[in-house]
Amino acid sequence: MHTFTTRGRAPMAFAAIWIASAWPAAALACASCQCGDPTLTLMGVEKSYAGRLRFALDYSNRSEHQGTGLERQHLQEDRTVFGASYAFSENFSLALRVPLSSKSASNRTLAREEASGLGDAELTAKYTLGRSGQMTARHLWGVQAGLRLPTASEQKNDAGEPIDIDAQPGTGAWAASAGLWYGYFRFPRMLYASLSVLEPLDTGYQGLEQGTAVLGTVTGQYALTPRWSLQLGLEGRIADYNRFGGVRDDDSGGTAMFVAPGLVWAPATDWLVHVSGQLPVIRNLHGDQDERGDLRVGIAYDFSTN
Amino acid sequence: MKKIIAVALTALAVQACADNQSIAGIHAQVGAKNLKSRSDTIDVGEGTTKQFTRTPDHRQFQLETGLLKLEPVALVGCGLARVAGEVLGSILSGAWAHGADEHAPGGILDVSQPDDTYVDLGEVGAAPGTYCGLRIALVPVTAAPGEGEVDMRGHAVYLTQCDYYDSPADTAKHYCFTLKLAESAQSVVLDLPEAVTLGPDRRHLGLAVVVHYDRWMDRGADDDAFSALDGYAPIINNPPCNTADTATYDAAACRTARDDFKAGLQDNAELKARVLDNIIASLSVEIAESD
Repeated sequence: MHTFTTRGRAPMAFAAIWIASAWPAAALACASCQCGDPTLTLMGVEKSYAGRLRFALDYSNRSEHQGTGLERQHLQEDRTVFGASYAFSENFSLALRVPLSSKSASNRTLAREEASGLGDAELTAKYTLGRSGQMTARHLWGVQAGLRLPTASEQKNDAGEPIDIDAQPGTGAWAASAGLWYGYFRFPRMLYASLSVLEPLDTGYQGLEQGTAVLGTVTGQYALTPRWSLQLGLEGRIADYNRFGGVRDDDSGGTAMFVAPGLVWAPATDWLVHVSGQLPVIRNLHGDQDERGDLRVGIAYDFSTN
Repeated sequence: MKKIIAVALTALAVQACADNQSIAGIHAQVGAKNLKSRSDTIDVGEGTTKQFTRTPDHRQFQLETGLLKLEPVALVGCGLARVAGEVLGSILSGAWAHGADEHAPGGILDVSQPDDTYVDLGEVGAAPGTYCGLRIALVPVTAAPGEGEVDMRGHAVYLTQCDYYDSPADTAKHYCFTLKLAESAQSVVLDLPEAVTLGPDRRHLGLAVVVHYDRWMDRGADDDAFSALDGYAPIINNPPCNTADTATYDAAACRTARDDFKAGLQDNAELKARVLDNIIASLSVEIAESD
């Protein structure tokens, strides 16, 4: 039986601060749309040690517009994600992310749909294939794979009718992801990059068939002090069209890239607080879509089980 | 740190307790119905409810089939907003036929059914504001017909009438013809009986497009117009179709003359344009319900 103890690492583990660098952009029109690497907040990119247990609580708010004319929808989401990750060894760790989401979809006719509930949980494994450099291993690289679980139930209104898919907290569909990652560590600087493919495995609620997406992240961090760090990231997504019952949704998919500046604060040993935002720089989205940036805040706490 | 956690958990609790809800947007539910506009129009039909169109000169056409594919396009504002809507509507003429997503899919009204037969055409959304009109469109059918249905593909109007030129009771003296009209979308703005303001407190409006089918054979498609058509005279109690004159009556020649006349009639672009104009002019709209 493990006894959970916090392990003092002062100054605050430089690499651990990194975790906020690639916050997963929450989904809107499609509940799994995201930008960048969704695992980093929880799993970190630091040189992990066996027995590390991390809990994270993250919140994000974002909005998006879709369509034209009266049907132009304003979509908004408040998303809270509970996360836990565990490092079984220096090279292998596993993470579970469980989102709670409140979404709304409204248009110019004053029509509005709102729903809240459990989203689709995600299970992610990360493995370090290699490391090089001096004793501290300046370069690390590896693979990661994930599975999105259809844990979200289809939300219904008082009349028992399903809320529109755009306001559903989750898709209700399985999806798998696989990708590569690379980290560079040279205090006070770090760089992390990852690239993964997200492939839906079945059909979600209301006939939603999400398009395949490629997600990429490149994030740099500079530690101003042992407790404060600045971040600057580039997060992108290239996604195929979604389909509903086999019919293509012309206002879905495309390419989006965001600059993500952020600030990380380590108020105490093993605690991290981060604030960051997302600013669109490339919005080559299909049809009529207008994806704005988002705002993210979160906290994380590390235990050691060794 | 405890404060941070407390705030986070509070936000989470608020999020988890939020209700699911669907709030309907502002919209007009639009239907269509057929209605005679003249009190002296006759219903004759051997115990059925077959309708008759009627020209002002008392010529009667028995309506066999009268199908209209109607789509509500949008509510139209008042004053300058209406002018802008008219201009936009003329620029975008035909755009309703395919793909535009702000209008309802529409429905097909069969005016040969008893009066007040109501067909739901769907609903159109609207932003908050005051509205004075409804833009409605005749849109060509694209779908293949079901079993036993009339093939309207490529046309918004399918009209079959029989001209009992002597008397409706004399079934021998007649010919029937079919006009397929509106190969491209035609739209018109119908004035609402009164200006209607829609907003958060009034989100629903019920509208009924009234089709006064007994006006369709009016101007330009009346007795004078038919009499002026080539080949019309020989089939109207004249040789070779005058059965009273045995010297000139020729059944075969009369059949040929009628067939030739029908073929010309059904391809007569000018007549078809006039009937279509009459159909569009026969439309009006009334407020069915509002809340």
